[in-house]
Amino acid sequence: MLTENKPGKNVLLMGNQAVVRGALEAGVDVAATYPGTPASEIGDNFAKIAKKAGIYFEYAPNEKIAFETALSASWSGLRSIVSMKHVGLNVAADALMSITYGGTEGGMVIAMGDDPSCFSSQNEQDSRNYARFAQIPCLEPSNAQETKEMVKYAFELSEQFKLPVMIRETTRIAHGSGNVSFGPLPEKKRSGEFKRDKVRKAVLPAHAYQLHPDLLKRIETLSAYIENSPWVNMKLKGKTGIIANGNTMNYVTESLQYENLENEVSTLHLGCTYPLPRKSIETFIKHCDLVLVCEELDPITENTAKEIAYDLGLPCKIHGKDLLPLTYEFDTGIIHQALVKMIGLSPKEKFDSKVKINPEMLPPRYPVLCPGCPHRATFYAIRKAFPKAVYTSDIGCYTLGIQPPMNAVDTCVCMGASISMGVAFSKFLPDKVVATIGDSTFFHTGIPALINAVYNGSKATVVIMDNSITAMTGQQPCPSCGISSLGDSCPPILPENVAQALNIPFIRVVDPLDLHHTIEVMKEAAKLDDTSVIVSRSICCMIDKNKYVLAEVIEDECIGCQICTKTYACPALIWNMDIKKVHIDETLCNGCGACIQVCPSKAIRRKES
Amino acid sequence: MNNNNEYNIVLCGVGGQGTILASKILAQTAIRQGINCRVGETHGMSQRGGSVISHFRMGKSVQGAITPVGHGDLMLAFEPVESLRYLNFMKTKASVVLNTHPIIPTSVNAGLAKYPLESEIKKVLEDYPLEIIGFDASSIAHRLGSVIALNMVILGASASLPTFPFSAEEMKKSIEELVKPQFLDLNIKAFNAGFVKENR
Repeated sequence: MLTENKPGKNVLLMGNQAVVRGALEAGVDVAATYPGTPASEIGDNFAKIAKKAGIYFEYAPNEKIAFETALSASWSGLRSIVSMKHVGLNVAADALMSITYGGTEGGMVIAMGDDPSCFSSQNEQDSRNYARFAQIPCLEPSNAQETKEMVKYAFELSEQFKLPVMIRETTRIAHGSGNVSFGPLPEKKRSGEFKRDKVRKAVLPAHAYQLHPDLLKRIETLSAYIENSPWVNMKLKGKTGIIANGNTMNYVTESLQYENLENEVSTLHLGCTYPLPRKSIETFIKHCDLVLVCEELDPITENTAKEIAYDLGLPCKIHGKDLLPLTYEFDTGIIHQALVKMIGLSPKEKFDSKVKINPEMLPPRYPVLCPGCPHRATFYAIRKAFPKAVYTSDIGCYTLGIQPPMNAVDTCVCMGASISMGVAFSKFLPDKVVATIGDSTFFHTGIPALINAVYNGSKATVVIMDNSITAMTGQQPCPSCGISSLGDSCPPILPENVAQALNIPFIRVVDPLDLHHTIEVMKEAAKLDDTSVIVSRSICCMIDKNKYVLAEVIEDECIGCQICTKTYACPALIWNMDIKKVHIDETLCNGCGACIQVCPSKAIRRKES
Repeated sequence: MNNNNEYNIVLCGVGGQGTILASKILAQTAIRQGINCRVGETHGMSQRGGSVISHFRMGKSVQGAITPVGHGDLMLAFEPVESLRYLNFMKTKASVVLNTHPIIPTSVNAGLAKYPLESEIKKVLEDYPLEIIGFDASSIAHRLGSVIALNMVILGASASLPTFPFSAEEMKKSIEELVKPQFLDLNIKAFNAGFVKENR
């Protein structure tokens, strides 16, 4: 659907799909990503259409490499887009910060997925800070249609000002869907051409020194240019005003509609949040005597507005984070409450709920490893072989090993930190240390840490939980899976071969669903006083759901010991309190067979087919 | 539609139950009729058997992808206890299509929490008050071939409500447009079974 050349066609698109369509309408040549929620579907949709649309696409091993792929395309005169979640830019920041002085050539767009409220992230860092830090434009869409238009615009802006342009989606935009009207798709394709320019493309100290003022000049011109862009939308009405960026404006509009205040309150909707349109903000706060700045997370626009008011000695009273939270995503109710408070309104609408539910009626439903997930078996084996260890872990499905009864995750910091910190802990602590890391994360940033284990010494056991896929973000291919970014077969890169090349003294490959053998191998590793690597390999159970025969509990033989539900805790194992027996929910069971090995009375077995 | 020209449906359940497809089918129906709409979804971590909520919002004035607290017109609860978790999104006197078939969280299986009785859940909903259309939609889907079709049974039941914004025929057209051909037959049967009250 995304490649249909039907201008005017009206479809439902998710924000992430709208990014892809916008890039296609801009004639993008190259797309690269490392998957990360909430930005994953950008790459996934490129992967689906890349061949048909004649564009180059790759799932890179990490965000820095994806960024540099896109940058190389730009420096070849091609249009490129790189997508990642907010924390991905921490990994790619080294490249980003280095190239803004010299600048880009072909239009380059950085599509960011920010995650206020940490739905699936380790923090809620606000990417607008990076835009300001690196001095690149930041555009923030408020719906799917605008996302598509902004991405198109961003390519033009990038070429005009020789800077990568950030499109900042938040979770509600990335994973929100709405009506989108298609524009035309361009015909012509570019071909790469390298223009030698050592001063701009080799960031030596002397070159950087020379170019920094040039960057500031470009930003100054850009600031003036952006004032007249479609992304500064001012409606001057009464003396009370609201400034809001991107998606936040939706909540503002709804609050005003509910109170019938649309024609009384002035609004300034900012789709460009770096550089901020200072002239427009000045006009707005000159017109108003009371302003509320609504922005999720950091008070960036608020501080700029206050700075302008101070510099010009304007009497306008500016509110922001004194009435609105610094944390979490907003909704209509939060904005409404701040507005009511600021103007002393007696509200027509209420956004609270009288419901008070006894917490005992709400059993927690934490996300869990899927039924049949091989990671559960690996964690079970780790706890048997290393009952008392420090467990460092990493980012992926297996972070869920933190939950009871596994309790096999003590630390999780950022991609690759399981190995680096495990290696270090093993030298600072008397304890055994087990680092758990997925295959995709191992290739992302785990390998340098494993090199460190050999070079600077370590006593840690590194368990590479190889399910041959980037599972958490939606089963994207990765270097170990034998499938290329575009779905063709290719030779898999195996973690044990990497370990071999590093001369790790103890390397074993196990199938975690063979629990007995896995535990034995791990016990062997536990005896060592040196680095060990265990590759625990079993394909993600979401990939091939029907490869096994389901298990069943023979009711007469179940003694109700609950060892399976309390120590293995697969969601398919259901404890029936009335008859004090366990049964297997066959709509959930994947037939991995691990519980058969866990049951002490041999009451679980394969169903006869 | 209320006086703010909007109709908000809150879909809640457990990751993997098909709330996202159900909300897409609602949106597809709105789009075909040229109606402005938004869908807000849950992805990522919460898909792994966690609690999930999706929003479908339609109408001229709708801007954001999430239903403002206390403004839901209809709840589609794919799992009983999840209806309580998101009850704050609902207006009083709104309706809830309630699948009475529970999915027991691992916290309950491991003996760390208790799952409330169906009667206790219904009492909270009735006291809110919500009008409950409650039945075992999972078993109907299972009987028809697969519990995967649960979302269609629930959509069918909601389409039978007089306040529902779309006709059953319009909904089925969207199902045909969005569901893979090999599952279409099962999905339409499931929708019909939900729509026809006698089967519940």
